[in-house]
Amino acid sequence: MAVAATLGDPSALIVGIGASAGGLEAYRSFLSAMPADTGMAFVLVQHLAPDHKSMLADILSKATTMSVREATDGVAVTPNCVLVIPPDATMTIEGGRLKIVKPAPPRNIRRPIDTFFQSLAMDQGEKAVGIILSGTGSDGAIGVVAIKEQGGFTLTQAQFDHHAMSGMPQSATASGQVDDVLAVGDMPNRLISYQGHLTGVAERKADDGTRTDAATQLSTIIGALRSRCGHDFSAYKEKTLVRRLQRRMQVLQVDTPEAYIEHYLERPEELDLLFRELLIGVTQFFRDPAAFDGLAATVLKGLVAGKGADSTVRVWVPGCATGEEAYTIAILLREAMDKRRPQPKIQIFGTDIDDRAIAVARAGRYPFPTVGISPERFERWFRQEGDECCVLPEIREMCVFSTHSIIKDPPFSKLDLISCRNLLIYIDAAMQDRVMRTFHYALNPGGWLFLGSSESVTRSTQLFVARDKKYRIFERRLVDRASAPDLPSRGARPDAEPAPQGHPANAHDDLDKGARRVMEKYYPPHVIVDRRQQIVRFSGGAMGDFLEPSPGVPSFALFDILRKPLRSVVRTALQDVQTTKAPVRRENIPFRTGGASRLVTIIAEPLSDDEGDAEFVVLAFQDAGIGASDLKKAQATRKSPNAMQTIEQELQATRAQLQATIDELEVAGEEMKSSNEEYQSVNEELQSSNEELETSKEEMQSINEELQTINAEMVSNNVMLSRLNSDVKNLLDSTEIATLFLDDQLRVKSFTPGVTEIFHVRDSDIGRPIGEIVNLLDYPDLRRDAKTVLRKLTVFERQVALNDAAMSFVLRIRPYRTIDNVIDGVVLTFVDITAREAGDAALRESQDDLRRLIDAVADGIYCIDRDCVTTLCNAAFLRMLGFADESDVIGVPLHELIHHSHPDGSPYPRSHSPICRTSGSGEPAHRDNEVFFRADGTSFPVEYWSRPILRGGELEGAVCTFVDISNRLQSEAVVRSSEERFRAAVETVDGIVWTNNAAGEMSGEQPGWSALTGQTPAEYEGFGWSQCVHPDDAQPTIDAWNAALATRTRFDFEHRVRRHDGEWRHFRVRAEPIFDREQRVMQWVGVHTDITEQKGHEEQRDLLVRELDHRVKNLFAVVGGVVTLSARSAASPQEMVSTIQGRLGALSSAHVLIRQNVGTTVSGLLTARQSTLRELVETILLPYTDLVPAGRPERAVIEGPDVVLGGEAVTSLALVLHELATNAAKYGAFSTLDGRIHVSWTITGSELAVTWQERGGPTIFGPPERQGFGSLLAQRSINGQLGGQLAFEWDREGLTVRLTAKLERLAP
Amino acid sequence: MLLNGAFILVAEDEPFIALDVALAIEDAGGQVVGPASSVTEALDLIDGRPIGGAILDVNLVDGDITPVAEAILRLGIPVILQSGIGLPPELAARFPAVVIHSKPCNPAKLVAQLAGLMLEREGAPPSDDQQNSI
Repeated sequence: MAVAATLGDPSALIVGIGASAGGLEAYRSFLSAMPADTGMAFVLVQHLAPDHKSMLADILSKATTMSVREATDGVAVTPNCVLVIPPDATMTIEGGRLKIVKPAPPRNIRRPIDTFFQSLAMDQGEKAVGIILSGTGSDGAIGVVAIKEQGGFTLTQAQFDHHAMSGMPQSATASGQVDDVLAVGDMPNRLISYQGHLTGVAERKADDGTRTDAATQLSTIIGALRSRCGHDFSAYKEKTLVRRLQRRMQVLQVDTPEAYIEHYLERPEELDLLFRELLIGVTQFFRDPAAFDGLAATVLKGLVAGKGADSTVRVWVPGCATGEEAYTIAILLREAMDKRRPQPKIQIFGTDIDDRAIAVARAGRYPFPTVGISPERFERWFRQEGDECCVLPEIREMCVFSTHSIIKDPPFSKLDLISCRNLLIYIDAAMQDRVMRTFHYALNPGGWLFLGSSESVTRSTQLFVARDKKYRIFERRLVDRASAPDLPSRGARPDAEPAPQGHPANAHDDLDKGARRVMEKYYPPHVIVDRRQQIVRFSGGAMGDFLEPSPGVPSFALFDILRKPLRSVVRTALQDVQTTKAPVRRENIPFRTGGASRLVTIIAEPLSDDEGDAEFVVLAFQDAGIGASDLKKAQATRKSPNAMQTIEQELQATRAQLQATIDELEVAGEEMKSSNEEYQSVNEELQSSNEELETSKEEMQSINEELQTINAEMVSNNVMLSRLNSDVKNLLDSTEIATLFLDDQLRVKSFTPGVTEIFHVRDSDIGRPIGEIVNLLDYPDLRRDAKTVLRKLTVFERQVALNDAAMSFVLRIRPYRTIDNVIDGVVLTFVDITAREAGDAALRESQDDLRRLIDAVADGIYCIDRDCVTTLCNAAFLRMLGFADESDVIGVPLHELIHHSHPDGSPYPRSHSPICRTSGSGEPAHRDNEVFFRADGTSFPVEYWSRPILRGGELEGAVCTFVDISNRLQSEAVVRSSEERFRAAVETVDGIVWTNNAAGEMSGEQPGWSALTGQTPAEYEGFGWSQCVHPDDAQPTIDAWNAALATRTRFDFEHRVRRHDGEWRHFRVRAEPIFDREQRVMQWVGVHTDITEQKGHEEQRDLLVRELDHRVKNLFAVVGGVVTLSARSAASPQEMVSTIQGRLGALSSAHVLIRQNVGTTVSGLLTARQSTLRELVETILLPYTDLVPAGRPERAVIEGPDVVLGGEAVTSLALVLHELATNAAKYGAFSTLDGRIHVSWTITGSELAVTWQERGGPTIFGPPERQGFGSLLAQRSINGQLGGQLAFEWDREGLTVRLTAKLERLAP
Repeated sequence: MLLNGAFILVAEDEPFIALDVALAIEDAGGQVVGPASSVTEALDLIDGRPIGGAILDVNLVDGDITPVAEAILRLGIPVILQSGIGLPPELAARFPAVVIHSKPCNPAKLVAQLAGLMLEREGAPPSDDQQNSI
């Protein structure tokens, strides 16, 4: 079977691993570092959410090649596998199989790791390994202790590991029962080496698992422990010791005890660790609850009931470890006392040799949740503080804890109950006996002993009687002689125990018994005596022949009951035995019994132990028959009668002598005996005195223990008291309140340093009546008032000043009550209020100043409270509103004082009053359009402001200030009308009005300038306006402006200003300075007038003038040319005159055409419309056509599109046409009556083509022989000025002239 | 003869004045080049022709005379300008010493002055003869 194999194999460790938060990472790194074939099994106990399916097994199976499964009920834990706790379950192990119980207990008491580890420890012993990994809380700490207790191995995760939550590993480590604290990755190696060690030592173990070799060195190790720690473990059970020692060796991986000894010789602190190992105590509240219930029912109730209020119930809990047992009993006792009056005092002494455990017990703080306490009890007796719970002080105060060794130290005494559970199991039988005697001694008669479930008093039944066998409750037996506990004196071997008593019963078997019963008949009768000759055993048989009881108190003293004739022989025999340690034989001792003389052989033989120390002696009496010696002697006498006779006689004489001597001796012996009796009784007395002393000493020692314990507490209280004292002192000093304490006779009890400023008091004055002490106070009634306070027990308070009035105080006298509320004098406190007085005076003064100030103000001021009642008014208020006195106003509701209305006289609903609203809601108000009515009913316009009065954030009312504004309204009206006029003036000005300051900087609203330039106030501010002046004009403008500023005369200038649309416009600027009364320039007011159009007109005019001038000059030049040329060609002066006149006429006509057009427009500009070709032709031909008589056909036909002509072109064409017309009149068509001229023109592209055709004139016979000067002139004009051609066709019917001109030259 | 057969450029868009000036030149023994009535025509005429002097109107139909005057003055040839409105500022700036007459102006006087300038340029003092013949 797998389980059996597992159990047998020392290498098959079962490793329980517990973790909570952060555990997954830790598991993963643990398993990945763990080889898969170690033979170990791993059981993972993770805190899981009860309602979630856990993925843990799936996740972890990726980290290892071992099989990872979720545990199921009954599954066997086999090597090389990993089992994971299922959710919502409690898991335990039993016989190598897991037990799963669902569901898990509620969260607050769930400790799955502890539960599993505890069962693992019980099931697997030293093959159990407990590992605590990351997690919060303290689960696992108890389990680790359990594993250690059973010899297992424990590890916790080191805090420095990066995954870990340190709570669980830390609390496990804090239990002191962890073998090693390691990083997770190092744990597998540690486990493997532990496994190797276990396997290695397996062969050296006995059947029960303890090492056989360890025992050999045990006494050495115990000796070392005793000298190191002062505790002796020699009385502990060897197996326990060996097992614990083995544990340490396992941890150290030391194989032999000798090596271990070497180890601790090198590192003595190892002995401390061993000591801790030996002290492992498992304890909890109400461990084995049924037993405690039994205890409560059987013992505690009666115990409490039997005690009065002034008596004490004393309980001793030796071996209390961390104190749970002591507290459990305390709780039970408290519960038993609950309904009882009177309540006795209870003292529970908890002791242990482990000082660390005692420290825990004293603190009374345990990890939460605790095990074993019912919720009701927990609620009642504990207080939870975070992760811990605390025993209530009520319980704590019942218990006193101290370090104490039950073996070494004197016991406590006069106890009512000793609860010693599971301590005896650790110590050997002899020590158990001793402890039992100690307990017997320590308990009061009728006291109780409460033992653990596997302990009993079988060997001490004469001391204790069982009252409840099941729960091991025993009652102290009354034994007449108090059995003082034998306590080892220091230095002596504590185990100087009497040699093992014969234990015949041990070898009992029926055969032996039967044989012995038969043989008893043949044994010589015998007794066994101890060193003090006390009989400890009688044999059967004819003992009565040798012993006879003496009268009086029955006694086992040998020499009390031994028959007298035998006493001296036996005494010497016993003495010989004591000295020689060898058997002694005295043969044929004659003595008489039942009237017959008999011989007896006495055999004394020591029952020696190994060391040969004869503790007990067997004394046997062998009957040698009646008178046997006489018979032999008679026979011997007969062989030699004479000699024999002589010898016989001698012998007889000697015998008689001897007999006499013996008789004397007997008498002396009797005397001795009676003396001895006396001594004996004296001795007894001494003995009992001694015992009493011993007892007293024990008690003293016990009391001393208690006193020391109490003293320690007192010392700490004392420290606290002195700290409180210094706190109080510092408090008194820091308040700087002079305080004087007087007793009920008004004598000085104590005082603070501040008092010396008032009373001439020194430390030596303590105890003197206060009346005798000189004081500086102007207060003769001090004693009387203090007495009054003492009598009435009321507090008295008044203000007092020093005689010289330099300081003043508030004196308060109050009765001094002790904490018990007893009146024990009075306390005088003097609070220095000098500064406050000065402050008050200053305050009053500043209030007066303020009052004067507000009265001096011209504005009316008043305050109202939240109910609109006037609380303050100033002089101006009274004056303006026509009240005679402040008293008419203060305390009167505002509405009865001031009536106000809208300016038009319409009344104001009260609820609308802004002032009242301010006082009600805190909302400030300002009105300047209302009217106040005076007391006489007249009214005046006011402006007023009301603001809330806040004190400490609380609205208290409102303050209102008001001004009579009738004058202001008048002047405002004047100003307004003047402004109106000004505005009207500005609006009528043609231009932009602006203002500059005295320095020429522009500021404020300049709507005109902004509208013109588009500049914002920020842009024109200062000299920014100059940015809008044309750059060419800027410098001249500034120069001119500076000149105007300097001379303070009118500024008159023209410049260009960029309009908001970017266009430059010409402006004329005029600015006038405005002077104040001192003739200083206040500002400049200027006007910008737009003169752009005017400028244009001027330019046009100038252009026209220049044009005319040019024309006139040209004309004169042309005229000059005409005259010169005409003169050159004229045959006669007449002809010259007519030629010149004709040409000048043409020029004149052309000029008329031009001039007609000049000045025809309204604006006076040159007209856009010019002369047309048709007009020109008509004008030139007019002299030749207007003379046509009526009825005749037209002489000239003119046709062609409109062609506009410029001035130059008009002149040129006029001359050309004139020349053609003159020729026609001389030689051509106009020279006859029927001749006609057809003038036509067309426009082709950029050219004008004019055709001049003469018909009806004289017949033409070819071109003229000489080209006339007119033709040449015409030719030049067309070619040069008009860019065209002139061609003549001399046909018979008449001349045709073709003329071209460039249109661009014709254009104006 | 005053001009001694020299080629004289005439630029004048007014036919009467142009002819008047041309005849006055011919009367003084010069050969008239032109008269040109436009700047373009004037520039064509002087191109490659040895000009001894010029009488120019400032304003012609296609613009002011500046290009023509510059071309001639650059060669150091004497120029006389006549104008109804004055000298173009550009020309006045470049050739401050140029002679200008305001219209109306006697052509014979213009020709005589030009002849004087031409003589100055040649460096030969004018003969009494010549002076007397004016």
